[in-house]
Amino acid sequence: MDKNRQILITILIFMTLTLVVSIVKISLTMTEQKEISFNINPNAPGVGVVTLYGAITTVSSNGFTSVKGSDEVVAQLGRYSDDPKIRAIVLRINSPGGTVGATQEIFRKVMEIRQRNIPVVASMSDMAASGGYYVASAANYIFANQGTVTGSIGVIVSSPSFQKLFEDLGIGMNVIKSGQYKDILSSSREITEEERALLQELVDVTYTQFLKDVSLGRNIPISDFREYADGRIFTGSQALGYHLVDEIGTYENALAKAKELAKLPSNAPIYTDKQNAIDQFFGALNSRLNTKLTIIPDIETSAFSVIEYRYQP
Amino acid sequence: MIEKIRSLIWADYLLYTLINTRQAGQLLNRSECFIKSTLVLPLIYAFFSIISSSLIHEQSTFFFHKIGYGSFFIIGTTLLQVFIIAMSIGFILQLFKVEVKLPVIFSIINLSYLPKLFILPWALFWSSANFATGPMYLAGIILFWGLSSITVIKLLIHTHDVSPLKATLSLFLPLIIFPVLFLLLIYDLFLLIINALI
Repeated sequence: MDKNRQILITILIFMTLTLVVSIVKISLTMTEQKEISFNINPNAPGVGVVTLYGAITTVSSNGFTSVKGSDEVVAQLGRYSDDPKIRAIVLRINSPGGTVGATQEIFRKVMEIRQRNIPVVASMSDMAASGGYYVASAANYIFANQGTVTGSIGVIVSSPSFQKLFEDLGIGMNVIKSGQYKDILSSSREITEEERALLQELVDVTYTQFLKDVSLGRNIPISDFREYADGRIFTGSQALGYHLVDEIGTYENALAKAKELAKLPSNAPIYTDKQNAIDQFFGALNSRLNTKLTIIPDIETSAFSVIEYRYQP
Repeated sequence: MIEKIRSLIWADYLLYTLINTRQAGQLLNRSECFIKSTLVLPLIYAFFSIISSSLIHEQSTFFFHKIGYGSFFIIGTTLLQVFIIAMSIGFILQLFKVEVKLPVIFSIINLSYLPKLFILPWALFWSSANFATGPMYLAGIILFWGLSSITVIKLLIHTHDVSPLKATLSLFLPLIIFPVLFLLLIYDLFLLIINALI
């Protein structure tokens, strides 16, 4: 056999070995059989998933995150409830709460969907505190993880006071107002007793709305959870003991429960709002950046003082 | 058949395709119809492409279905690809008034799959190194496609006595001409339907 042919035979043996090694490598790193279901019917009845991540506000944050505003969440809930193929909805929550109006809008929408006999199952992730719990309480069934931070039933309003700092710096504010309370919670001066009483009344009214809505959503009297509704946070396990969640379970359990409530087969499709490739890219990028920056304390930089159903550690 | 394999003449074809296209061209011109024997290369490539693409990320047990009945589909599309490329090269060469040897062109296209077979060791290397497997796989596809195209052009030059320009055009011109013809056909059909409706 001449040298050239020997070279080629060597190449062929090399290729054969490569083939064998590749198949062995693929087999060794192989994961378990994934359930592969070919959904031939694009309108097959299934479960819609709505995510509620981050602080609840009316408007969505920028386009680079998965944080949706209440307008978008309500719109998505509306689309799903009007879609005949969506037979149940899973509300995936990871939120410390947010502004009162935005939270109540989502709560009302979920209640409206429930009244249309579309089961809604809430699945709590890391946190569903304050407004996050407010929204979850509207669901037919609530799942929490054992370590989910939830509760924080209460209302908060706060504003910084820079009066002493302004005095030290010799800065004064010229305020012309139409009424006594027009600049209530102004940072340039201390709050007065009358203003404090007024705000306390406002917080109490808003708090009562919270209690009533939780009572309505959970179908339990306020007296059953009133003693825990002092702003304290608790774990998912504790919340189960207080009857504020229905079961300890994961997102997968929530999907299964939604299918069960809607009498759907276990292989019924899951519908989510698909992100386009650009959103996915920036979402992943943002997620990476957030992971890197979590050691930096969250500093509230809002220039406005707002009344919130929000857990603020 | 067994004698043909034992004779190792096929080894000359394969080696010369890789290292000396002039001699490979001479062998192709001398030989009888070599289509059947060289057809094994696109078939192996089809199988290799499934394995190499499966190296990019973790597979489920569905992989065995892919290399089972899935390979029939890939083999079918690869053979169709060979047929279309060979016919389109023949068509363009005829436009250049070159005497076309269609069986040789088919053999050339089949042989051009030889450089592409190296995509498997390429993918295995980057997958084992765990370094940018996806992008490197894509780079490999482009690299070996380029080498394959060069092989076709060189073999056309040596087997059909055409200039490098004509050989290059015969390979790449169909990529421009056929989509244009297809669009014109669609346009004609569109006009036909509109005329029928109005």
